[in-house]
Amino acid sequence: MNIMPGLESTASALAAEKVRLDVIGQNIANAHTTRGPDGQPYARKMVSFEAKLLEVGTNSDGGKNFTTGVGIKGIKSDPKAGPLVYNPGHPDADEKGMVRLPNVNLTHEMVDLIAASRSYEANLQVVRTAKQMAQNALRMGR
Amino acid sequence: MIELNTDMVSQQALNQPLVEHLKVNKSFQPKELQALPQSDTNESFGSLIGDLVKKVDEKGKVAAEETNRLLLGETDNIHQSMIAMQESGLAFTMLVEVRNKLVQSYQELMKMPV
Repeated sequence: MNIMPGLESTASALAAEKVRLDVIGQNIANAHTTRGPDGQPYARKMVSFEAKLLEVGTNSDGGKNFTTGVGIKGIKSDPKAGPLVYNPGHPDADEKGMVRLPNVNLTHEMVDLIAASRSYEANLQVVRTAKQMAQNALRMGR
Repeated sequence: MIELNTDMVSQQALNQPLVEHLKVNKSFQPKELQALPQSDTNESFGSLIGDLVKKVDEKGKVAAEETNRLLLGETDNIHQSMIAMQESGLAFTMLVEVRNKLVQSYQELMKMPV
């Protein structure tokens, strides 16, 4: 019995958006980190999604039901070099007094944040609408 | 342009199982009523309702389990728990709706002058 069908793909999209938010949060948190575990400044991380087939239970004839959900393809680092600023007092400055900052652009991150939040909202709206459709169908008898 | 087309084809291939399933099962169409089954002692009316109650209860248990896992910190998927709760709530409304209909038809019968 599946009362609100099609929500498995929405649930996977919600989980994926949460990962995206997590990655953006990491980028913002490390926007000024000049040294990572490898000694290099923090590199901005980007998450990429991919469509994937989800198995959602079996139907009445014993066959498998499928739906197309969202999966995380991978989290890649942005290879672009960050800005080089002159700051001789900095502990991570080189012999010329230059410090390599992370390639995180806070403006970009905020825009990505808005995009992630809006896609999350859009998926929540799908859940809400699916519920309303079922409720309206149940109200048919009254 | 050719690349675009292959992309489209691969996208369609992704949806193929869903389309096939819809074609074979025609689940989006109301099923034709089959001949009424002969009165079977295993498939009594009571067991039918019992099954429905059991399934609704199962949904409630799933929702409780999801919420428990969330509150215990085993998972951080709030939406899974919320969706499960909504689903169990809807299933329960459905059950109540069926019960109302049954009681209503019983009362109609009782009102019948003999």
